[in-house]
Amino acid sequence: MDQIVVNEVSVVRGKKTVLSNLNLSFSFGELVAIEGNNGSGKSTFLDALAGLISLSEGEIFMEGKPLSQMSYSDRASFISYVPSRKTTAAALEVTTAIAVGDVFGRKMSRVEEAIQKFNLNELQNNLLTELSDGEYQRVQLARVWVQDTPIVLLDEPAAHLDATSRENLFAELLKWAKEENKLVLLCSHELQLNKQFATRTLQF
Amino acid sequence: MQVIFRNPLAGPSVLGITGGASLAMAVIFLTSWGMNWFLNAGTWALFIPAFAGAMMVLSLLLVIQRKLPMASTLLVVGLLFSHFTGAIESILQKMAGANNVNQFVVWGMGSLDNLTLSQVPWLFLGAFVPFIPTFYFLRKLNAFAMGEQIAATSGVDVVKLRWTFLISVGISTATITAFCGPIAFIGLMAPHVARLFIRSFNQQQLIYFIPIIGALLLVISDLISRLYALPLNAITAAIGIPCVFYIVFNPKRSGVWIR
Repeated sequence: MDQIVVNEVSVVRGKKTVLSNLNLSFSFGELVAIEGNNGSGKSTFLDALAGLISLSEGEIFMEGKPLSQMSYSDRASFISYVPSRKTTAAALEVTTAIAVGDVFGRKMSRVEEAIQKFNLNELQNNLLTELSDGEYQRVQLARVWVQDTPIVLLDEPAAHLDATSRENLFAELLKWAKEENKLVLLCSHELQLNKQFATRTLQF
Repeated sequence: MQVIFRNPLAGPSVLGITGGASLAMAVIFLTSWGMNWFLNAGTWALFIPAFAGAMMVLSLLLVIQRKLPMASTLLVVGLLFSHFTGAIESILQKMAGANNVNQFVVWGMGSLDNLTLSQVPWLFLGAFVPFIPTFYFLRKLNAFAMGEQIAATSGVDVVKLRWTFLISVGISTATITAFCGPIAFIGLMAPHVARLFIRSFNQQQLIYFIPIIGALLLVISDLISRLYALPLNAITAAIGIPCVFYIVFNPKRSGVWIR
């Protein structure tokens, strides 16, 4: 059964139509890689799925519920999001940043677990601004793991990572999709890795 | 404010918010219409124009911030606002009578001298009470510090959070500016000094210490200004400017926030 349905979605920014009449559907357990040139609308699509931008036309349904009518907290129980690094950099300790995955304070034990699981013990008091790209990405994964949503969106998560880290990242995301039955959607220019790990690729 | 504007150098005076309140006060002190209104309405009424001035600048900053490519540009915009409000103030000064100008210039130096005991409850009401609603968002401030996209997808109502804090900042800046004149640098310094003391960047912990540190910095500055009979703003600037240099030269430790 398709749990997420994108129904005739268009997004217009200024005079430019970024997404035009998009019809797609996704199920849990998938790792979907979105490919396309810069400016093709990949990130806009993720923003639309995350409910961060309003749609010009159409609707996105999460298990039958229209996304546009969901509150911030409802959406956060469905979707977690890792934006590309260029848009976020804050002077926050690693532990505090991971705990952002639990803004309602309901999963405190999961924060501790995440630090162990993502091997962040030695970095927990470091600031995000002091981390390498690979370490930063691990913190972001830990944060969304704490949030524990059925849908995870990632905007170019492998950019700036070395070859081994890229492969580990894709393997981990595939594990999330398969073992934890999540829908993982990512924008990625890593064509080889997309082919190797993704259960489906979309061209934008 | 530094979290809301995602800029470690943000503060009411640097961003021109104090300037907005100050311009409104200039209209009161330097025009016969304003003076008449003030004499009829009483001291506490000074808050109303100061709040209008502060909120005007805050709202403009918020609109402009979303269109800026870099967070640091916001500081230039704040500087321009300060110059703009300053320019209008100087025009008003030129047109006003000597007595009014004198009164305005003394007020503009910032001072706790003219506070009376009967004004203290009003000052408390205006400076602290507006922050009570912000406590609802404490857990969510860290998410906001990581960027609006992360905050919104973590379940934070970013619009409500932003406006709750901005209105609180507007009310408290307006109250303090109305009663004590424009006092620069305290708002900018307090979060950084608090961080040095508690050695944490967690906004949930910092938020309790920032007002205490701010109050301490103000009392110390006031004490020095009374001891040496110097204007309060000269002292806050003498302490504040090295603090700005510290922030600029230690971007990783003081918070690099990009959009």
